[in-house]
Amino acid sequence: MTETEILASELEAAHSGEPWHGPSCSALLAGVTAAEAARRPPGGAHTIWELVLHLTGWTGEVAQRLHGKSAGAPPQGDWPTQPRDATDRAWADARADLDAAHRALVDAVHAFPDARLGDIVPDPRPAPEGGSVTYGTTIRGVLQHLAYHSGQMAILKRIVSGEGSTR
Amino acid sequence: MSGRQSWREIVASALDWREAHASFDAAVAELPVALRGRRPEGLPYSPWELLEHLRIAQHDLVEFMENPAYESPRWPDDYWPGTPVPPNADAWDASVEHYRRDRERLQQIAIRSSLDLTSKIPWGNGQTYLRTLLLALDHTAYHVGQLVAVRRLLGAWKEGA
Repeated sequence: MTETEILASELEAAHSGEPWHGPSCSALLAGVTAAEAARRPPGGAHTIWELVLHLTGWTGEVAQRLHGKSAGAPPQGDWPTQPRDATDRAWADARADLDAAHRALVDAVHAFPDARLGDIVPDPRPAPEGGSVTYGTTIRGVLQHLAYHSGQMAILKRIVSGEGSTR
Repeated sequence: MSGRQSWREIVASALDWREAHASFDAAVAELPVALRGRRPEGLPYSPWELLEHLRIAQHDLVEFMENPAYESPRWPDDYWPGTPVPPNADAWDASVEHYRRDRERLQQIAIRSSLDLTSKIPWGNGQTYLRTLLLALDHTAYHVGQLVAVRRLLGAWKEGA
């Protein structure tokens, strides 16, 4: 397998396969209702819904970087606000948007030349956000970002529904 | 490697990647002693349990790659500490330091020029060095995310840390 094929395979596993580190994002979101996704845990933590919106934004942002866009925050912001009305339809749409963003990123990784993985992503932002980060590290970074928030989803799912593996 | 950036560079830099979420070092910093062994209501583990799990699992992966005679702990029980509370006042800092030493060992493995990361670990069951390093990265990210979430639930997390 080429480097990009391995990275794309890892992305698929982390989103909806069987990643080595724990449950996939899709497995964790399975069975979470709109009300549970929108429920604010103690301590002001993000909701599951907010985590899904956050992941959707950053997944799309990294896909756009692979298509040539300079690095920056997602257009919808770092932490988009969840809708006031936590309807089943809105929750299904949020899940579908995450799936679509994931698919677009996997496609972008597949299309990205291995020879360019070591190139630096153009980044006009000042430090600490801006810096000399390569495309390869950026793709690995989004994988770690997905694992990080998947771990949090496991915690939140347990808190809001009393179910779910956290390990 | 077909690209200009080899896997060793990707892995080594990813070990220190911190653009979009809190690092291990931030997640373990400035947690009051009284909260280190406290489980939030409804959850099966405390910050100490997560820290120790991070340390034990990373140590297991480093030793697996470096020591042919190494025998892994029994999964899952021996990958978690026996109690939610640190056994003594020094245990938290000792665990953090142990984790950092092993993270440095991971970085050294990643950049070792004599090692083809895509080769299989001779004494393994088909695992490559690359797969093991990537597992270490993602496992750490998963549980650091949980440690931050637990700190939020305990009211002991400063946004932007």
